[in-house]
Amino acid sequence: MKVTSGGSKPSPILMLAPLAFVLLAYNYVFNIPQQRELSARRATLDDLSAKADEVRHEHGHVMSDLSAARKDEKDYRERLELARAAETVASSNQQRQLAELFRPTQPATSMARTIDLFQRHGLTCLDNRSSEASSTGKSTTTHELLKPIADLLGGVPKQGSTRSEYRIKLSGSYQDLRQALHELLEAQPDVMPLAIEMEAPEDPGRGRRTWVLTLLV
Amino acid sequence: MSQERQIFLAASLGLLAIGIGYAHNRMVQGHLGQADAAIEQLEGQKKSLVADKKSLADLVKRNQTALQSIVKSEAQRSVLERDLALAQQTIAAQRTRWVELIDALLEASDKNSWVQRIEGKSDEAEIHGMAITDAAANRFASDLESAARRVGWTVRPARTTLAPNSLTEFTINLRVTPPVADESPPTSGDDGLLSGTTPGDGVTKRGGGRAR
Repeated sequence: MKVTSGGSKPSPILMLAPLAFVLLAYNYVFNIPQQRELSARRATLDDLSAKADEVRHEHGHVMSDLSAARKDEKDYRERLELARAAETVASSNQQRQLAELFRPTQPATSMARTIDLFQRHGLTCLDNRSSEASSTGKSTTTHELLKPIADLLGGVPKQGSTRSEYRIKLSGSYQDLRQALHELLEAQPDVMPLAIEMEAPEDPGRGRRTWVLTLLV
Repeated sequence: MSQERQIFLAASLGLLAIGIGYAHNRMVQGHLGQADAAIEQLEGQKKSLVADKKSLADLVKRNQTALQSIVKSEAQRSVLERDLALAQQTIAAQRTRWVELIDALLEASDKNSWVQRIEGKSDEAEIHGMAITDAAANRFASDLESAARRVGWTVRPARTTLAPNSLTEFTINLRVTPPVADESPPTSGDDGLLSGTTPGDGVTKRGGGRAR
C-alpha cells in the first residue's frame, strides 16, 4: 500500500479492515455459537410444539379423570364416615350388651323376690343354697356359662361376673311351677333358670312334686 | 485524505461493526429468550401434566384405600352385629330354655304317657316317665321333639323298658342345640322366643297337667 502525506487516495481495503476484522471476530466468537444454540432451541421448540396438542389432549383427559376421582373421593369419604359410625354403633351395642351381662347384681334381693314369687304361686321352698355349697357337683360354673357369650361380645371383662348359681328345692304342682317360671322370666330379668329337676313322686295320687331349680342370679 | 482521517474512518467503521455486532447479538439473545420462554411454557404444560397424572394416581390410590377401608369397616360391623345377634339369641335361649321345656313336656303329655322325673344339667335334660305302651312312649318322644325343637332342644329317641306292672318305662335324653346366627335383626329380648306360647296354652291343650 502506498500512503502519501499529501492528497493521496486512501486504500479502501485498509479502511475496511477493522470493520471486517470486528465482524469476523464477532461471527466466530459470538454469532456461530449463538446460532447453534438458537437452532437447538428451535428444534426443541418444534419438538415440543408438535407434542403440545397431544399433551393438551391428554391433560384434558387427566383433568377429567381427576375431577371424577375427586368426586369419588368425596363419596368414599362420606361412605367411610357412615361405615365407621355404624361400626362404632355396633361396637357400643356390643359393649352395652356385655356390660348388661356382667352388670353387678343383688343376689340377696333377687333371691328374696324369687322365693316370694314362688310362694305366691303356691310353691313351698324346702331348701335354698348357693350352688357352690351344693354337694351334687352337677352345676355348671358361671364362668363356663357366660364365657361363650362374652367371647362373642369381645371377651370377659376384667372384673368378671358377680353372678352365682343358687339351687332352690321347692314343693308344688306342675302348673304352679310353670306359671311361676313364666312370671319369673318377666319380673326378674337378673334371674336365669339354668336347670330344672323334678323328683319322682312319693305319693303318686297327689299333685305336688318336689322340684330342684338351679338359678343364675 | 490525510492519514489521520483514514485512521478516523477505519476506527469509525470498526466501532460501527462493534455496534452492528452488539445489535445483532441483542437480537439473537431476544430470539433465544423467546424460544426459552416458549420452551418453558411447553415444558410447564408437560410438567403440569406429569404433576396432575401423579395427583390422579395418588387420588386413585387413596380412593382404593378408602374403598378397602369401607369394605373392611362394613365387614367388621357385620361381624359385630352378627355376634351381638348370636349373643342375644344365646342369652334369650338360655333364659327361656327350661321354661319352654316345661311347656313342651306339658304339650307332649297325654293320658297314655306321663312324666315321673326330670333330671337336668345346664345343657342336658333327661325325662323319665311311664306310658301304657311302647308306642305311646315313642309318640310322647315325637310330640316332645316337635314342641322342644322350636326352643333349641334336640330330642333323642325314647329308651323303653317293660316295667313289672306291664307299663312301659321310658327315658328321653334332650340336649341343647346352640343357636346359629341368622340374617334376621337382633331380638331385643325374650319376646321372639316366647311368642306363640302364652302361659296357660299347654294347660288346656292336652287335658291339663298330665305330668304326674
